[in-house]
Amino acid sequence: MSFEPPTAMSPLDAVPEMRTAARWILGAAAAVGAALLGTSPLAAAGQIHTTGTAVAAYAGLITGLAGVGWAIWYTADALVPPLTTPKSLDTDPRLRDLRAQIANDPPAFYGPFGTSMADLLAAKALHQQVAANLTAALAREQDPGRRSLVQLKLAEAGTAVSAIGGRIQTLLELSHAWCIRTQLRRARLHTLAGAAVAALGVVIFLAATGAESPPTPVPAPSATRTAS
Amino acid sequence: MTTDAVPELGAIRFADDGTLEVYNGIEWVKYEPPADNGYGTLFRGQEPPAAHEPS
Repeated sequence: MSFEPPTAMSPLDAVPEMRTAARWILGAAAAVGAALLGTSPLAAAGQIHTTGTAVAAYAGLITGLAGVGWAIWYTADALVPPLTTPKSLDTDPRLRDLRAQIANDPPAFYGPFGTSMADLLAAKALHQQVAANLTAALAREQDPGRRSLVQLKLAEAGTAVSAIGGRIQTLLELSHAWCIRTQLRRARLHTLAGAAVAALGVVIFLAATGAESPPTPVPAPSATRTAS
Repeated sequence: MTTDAVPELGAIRFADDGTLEVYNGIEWVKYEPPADNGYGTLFRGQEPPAAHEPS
């Protein structure tokens, strides 16, 4: 039994799973932020007695929140759908490594129709125009030999337009999925950096609230004397 | 003075040898669209199913 690849599949099939991964990262960052920044102020309640301590605690909290916010900001970026056009493949900085892969093997992406998206679009326009002219010629041509040639070339033009259209569509879908892949990979790095900043904020906060002990009450002098 | 009209892109004509020519924007050439042999990429969703999975 031979396997025939399903033709209805698309690079876009990976997009929902990448978005799910981004949601997991987002949820994890929010949970860690809540655990660190939600419980620390409660634990340190009653430990802030001076303005300096309050400022340091505030700086720690702001730093921690900034770290969590940083992670959430960039991860949420992966959930925003990018706008992909044929020009994106040539210009979008998120597709730099895809362009490098294509440059290594252009026929795998453009087939026999050129070496760039512009070539594909030009070839499609040409073959579409040829097909239109052939259709018009077929309507007025009377010679049987020429009619059969026109019919043959019309079928070839239609096949070419269809093949080029498929190549363009696949490249668009691949570019779109690749943008999200790049956003997700960047979100992972920023989440790591944001977690480090959040941890730093918590350390600052705990150091500020734990360094200062509350004023120790001075014991009142005893009224009784012990016999020596 | 007369000038030859520049044909539009994709214009067709029959050559003297009976073949069909097309204007590609630069010159008249025989119309032979390249065949796409399907050489391309394999991406997620097109992998064959694992051996233990029911087909």
